[in-house]
Amino acid sequence: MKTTLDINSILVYSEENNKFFQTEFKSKLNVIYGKNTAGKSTLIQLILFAFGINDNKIKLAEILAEQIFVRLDCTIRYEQEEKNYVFIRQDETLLIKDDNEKVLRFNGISSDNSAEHVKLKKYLNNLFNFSLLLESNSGISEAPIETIFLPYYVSQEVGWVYLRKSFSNLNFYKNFKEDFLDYYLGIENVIDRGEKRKIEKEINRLQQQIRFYADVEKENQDLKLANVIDQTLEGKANELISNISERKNNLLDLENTYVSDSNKLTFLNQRLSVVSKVKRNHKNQEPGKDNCPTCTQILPSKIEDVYSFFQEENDTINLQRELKDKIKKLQSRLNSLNKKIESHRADIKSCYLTFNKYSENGLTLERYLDSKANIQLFENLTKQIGQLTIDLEIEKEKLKEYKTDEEILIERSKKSKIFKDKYFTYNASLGLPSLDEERFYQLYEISSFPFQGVQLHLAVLSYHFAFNNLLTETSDIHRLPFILDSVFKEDIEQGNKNKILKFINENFPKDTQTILSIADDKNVDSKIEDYKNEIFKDNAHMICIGNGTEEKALLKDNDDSQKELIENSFEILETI
Amino acid sequence: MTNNYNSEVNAGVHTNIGMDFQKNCTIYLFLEKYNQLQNQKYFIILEHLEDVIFGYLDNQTELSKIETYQAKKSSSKWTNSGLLEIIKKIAETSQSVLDDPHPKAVDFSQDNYFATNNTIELNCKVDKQQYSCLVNEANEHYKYSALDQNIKNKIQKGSKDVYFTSENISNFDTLNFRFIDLARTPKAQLEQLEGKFRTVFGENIADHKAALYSFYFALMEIEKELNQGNIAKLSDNKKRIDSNQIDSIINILTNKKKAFDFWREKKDELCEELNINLFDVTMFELHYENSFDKFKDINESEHNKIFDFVINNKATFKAHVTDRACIASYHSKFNKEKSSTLSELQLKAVIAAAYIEVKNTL
Repeated sequence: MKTTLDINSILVYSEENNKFFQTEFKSKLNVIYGKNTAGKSTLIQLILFAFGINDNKIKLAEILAEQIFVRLDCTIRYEQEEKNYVFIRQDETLLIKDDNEKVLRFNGISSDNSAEHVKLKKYLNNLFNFSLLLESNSGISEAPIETIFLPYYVSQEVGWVYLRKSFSNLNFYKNFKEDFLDYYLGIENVIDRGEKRKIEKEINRLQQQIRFYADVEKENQDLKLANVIDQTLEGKANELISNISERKNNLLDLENTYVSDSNKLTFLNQRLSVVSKVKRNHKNQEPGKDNCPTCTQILPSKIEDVYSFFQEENDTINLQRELKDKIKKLQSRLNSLNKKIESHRADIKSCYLTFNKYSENGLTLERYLDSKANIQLFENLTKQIGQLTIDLEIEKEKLKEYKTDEEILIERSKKSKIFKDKYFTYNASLGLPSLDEERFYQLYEISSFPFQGVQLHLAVLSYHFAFNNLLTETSDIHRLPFILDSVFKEDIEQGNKNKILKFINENFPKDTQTILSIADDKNVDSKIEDYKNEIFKDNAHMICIGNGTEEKALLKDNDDSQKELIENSFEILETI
Repeated sequence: MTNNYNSEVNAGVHTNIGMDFQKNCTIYLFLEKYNQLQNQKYFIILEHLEDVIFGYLDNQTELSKIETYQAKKSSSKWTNSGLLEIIKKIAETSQSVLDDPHPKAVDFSQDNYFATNNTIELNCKVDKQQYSCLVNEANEHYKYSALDQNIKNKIQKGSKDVYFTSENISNFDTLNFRFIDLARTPKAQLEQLEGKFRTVFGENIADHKAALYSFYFALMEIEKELNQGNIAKLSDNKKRIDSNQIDSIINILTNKKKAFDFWREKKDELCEELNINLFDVTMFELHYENSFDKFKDINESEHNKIFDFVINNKATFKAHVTDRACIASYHSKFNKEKSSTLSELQLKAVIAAAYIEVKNTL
């Protein structure tokens, strides 16, 4: 079942300049409009910023300099339930308040490599049931947060020319395009491939080992000699060996005691250091005399507090004394153990010397041990080959559970077919010429479009709508608001503008929100009322930035209309 | 909650504890009389009229008996000459008590003591005959009225510095000499008093040393209160500690038990209850035991935050029957509502410790 995100509202607030922006987002279409450079893209990028994405931070530099925070109130719909979340990002910190009013804090997330950012990524993956893995030089790892948003976001400039380039830095992953598409279309993912490769390797290893053992068995002459030596020296050797092994056992016991006592000592030392520190601090927390370390007022001196204080102090003093005593005793026990161990070691060493020098008929016990090893080896070889053959069969069985390359290709082509049909339908409705070459319509091959100017723009639009539509057929994939930044290019004439908006109005995804931005100057031939009434009719929620006339006008003076929401946001920001 | 005392006046609990012989005497006498005081209305006055006053009230709030003590420590024994001035003062005190307007019962009586921790030796020589009286470890108490007449005569005569009026002499009958068995040094005195606390209260008090210190502190607080006015009258109940005030202090001392040892010993039981695996047991123990110490230190904010959480959610105690279920419920509630930088195992140990402490001090 799919996980769907709705963004209910956004609040941007600059405490420094006492300015704010707030708007709600509705289901269906949300149209952000305003003059060029009014701040439409900024608003969209702030949404991504609020989810912890750092990719567009440079573009946001100007507004971030105003010391803002961004707050998103969201609803996530799962199969059975809906949960509300609040995301607040201020500079390097992201706070998430969940359904249970619990506030999670991620500090220092402005670098994608920071531990906190990795923690956030894991949290978001869990939230959206997202599990894309990507392969880079350093191995397979969880995909960056950007990839959660990538299929649903078309950025202002690059997004309307290239595919999968709305965020930068995704290039260096191996096979990015294939892994990305496979994941979103529900075809085998990287985990499977990694697992499969492991099994193939294991099979290879097993086969080599079997071959190796078979060779040893055939060629080794020593094995025959070993039996002769064995009979000559067996009696004396056993006697000496059992002697040594008994001593070794004793030594092992001593060493084990030594290790466990050392651990006890460390435990006691750790306790002592805590107790000593508490004792030092506690001394300065006397009721009626000392200041409270957090509020600087004198600590209360009610008799309960005084009694507690003295009880605590006495307990600490006794404990410290006890611990010191135990440490002393344990240390001396360790020292004596250490002496015993030393003497045992010396003992065993001299036994070894005796053993190595002993010989009969020119055969030393050393040689005897070697041959003993050979006999063991011979027995093992036969056993090993048997076991390895069984293992090999098991691995081969496992491999059968994975899709073969052909199967994957078939699934891909099935999806491509669905995509192609949709893509062509959309192209036709946008008046684009038909495409003949496979590389321009096969989903796994498209990397550019054989158009330029307005036609290129329309083709990208068509692609994204077809792809978004295709995703609705993947079970278990998360669905996010479809965000299209700047659906008009600068030089598109009115006829095409109307065509684009009509297309959007007819084909926007029905299961998620759509958020798009368009440029419209109130003073220069404004068409926004026409769009609203004649094209979108009841479908669109209109969001105006800067009265339709101002530039760089996202934030406006605080009129206290959002006082409660701002207060509440600070409460969340200040949660301990 | 916070009393913002001037910290110079209130120079702390530790600084002066045990240094004051009068107060040590008061505690000594109080503990000595405790069994008898328990069922009676009484009050104590410190350093007014006399060093220490015990007043006993009958049911109608009339005074039935007064005991005053002039308490002096000494490193040498007391003899006649050193005592005359003290006796004169005590006689005057005795008269002041008589003159005091506090309602007195028909059978009102008073005893006025000179109390000290060294030997008192009273003697005289009449016609080559030596008369003497010793008050010491072997003979702790001597009434003036029981003295040999010759010694009485010698005292009444006074000296060139001390002259007794007839009014003074009429009050001599209430005069008593008392040996207080307290050692010379403050440290040894405290140890003795601690032992006396132990004898009187036994297992009703968890930590006798802490109880002694707290009682001492309470006396200092009350004395500070008393010192703020002028001359105290017996009836001015702002200037005296009443038996119910003392009862409430004793109540706190006997009811507030911090049983650190008991709590620490609980860890084995808890490991079993909470399914702590063998691998984690030592770490759990360490965090668990450390928690009780860290709760004591206000600087350990994370631990105190968790402790407060357990205190503030006492309702959870009522919702569960077993320790295990209750701790588990605290743990999941905490994770739902709060976040902590501690690891799960650490958090579990701290919550378990806070739970045990809160549960056993409820």
